Amino acid sequence: MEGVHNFKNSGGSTFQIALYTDSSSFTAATTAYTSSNEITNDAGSAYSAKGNTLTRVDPTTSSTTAYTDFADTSWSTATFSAMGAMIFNDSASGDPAVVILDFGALKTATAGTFTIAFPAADASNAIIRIA
Amino acid sequence: MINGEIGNVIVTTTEHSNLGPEHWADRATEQVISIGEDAHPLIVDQARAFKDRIRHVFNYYIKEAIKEDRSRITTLLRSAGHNDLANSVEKL
Repeated sequence: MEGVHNFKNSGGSTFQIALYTDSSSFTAATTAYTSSNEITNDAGSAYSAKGNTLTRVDPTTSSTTAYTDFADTSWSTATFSAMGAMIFNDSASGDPAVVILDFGALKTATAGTFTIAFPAADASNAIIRIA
Repeated sequence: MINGEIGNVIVTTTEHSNLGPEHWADRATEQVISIGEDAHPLIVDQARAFKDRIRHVFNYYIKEAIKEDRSRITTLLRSAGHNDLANSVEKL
């Protein structure tokens, strides 16, 4: 067993969130960032390959649950659609995946803002929890 | 046994507009204050009232920051001789 991801605010890994189209089909075999089916801009240049860099929030614990969080992230003047996202570790060799997110529906921004809000950072809701 | 769980994100999009100060005030408030599900009802009421007050404070200062930034852009545009653009920004 080897530790790869460092979520600490100070000195942690660089985590990116990339967006994907409704043609993407992630499985358990998806273990790293891929540009396959990553979204592109329908207009403008708001989105770049590998998406946005996330701002880490220090991991913490509550009782027997450890959890970590990221600050909300957004794209301005955006014209694109996305069905899901992948958070991956851009610092680690091979860009290993951390989390795959399914938005549940195709989300579209047109000359507007596309924002992803992370859940409350607590033991019941945080984006990444280990108990 | 160790269990890993993933939370749910909320995606918000706009068309031909932007998210206003109210949206960001809500998000900031949610980051700062969370109310426990099992808290006593009186505490919950107080916490909600406090949260609402904080939301208004965030909303006010976000709008002030926007005004300051627009003022800075207007000044820069005027000093560069783009008076028409400066007037347009000022009217936003």
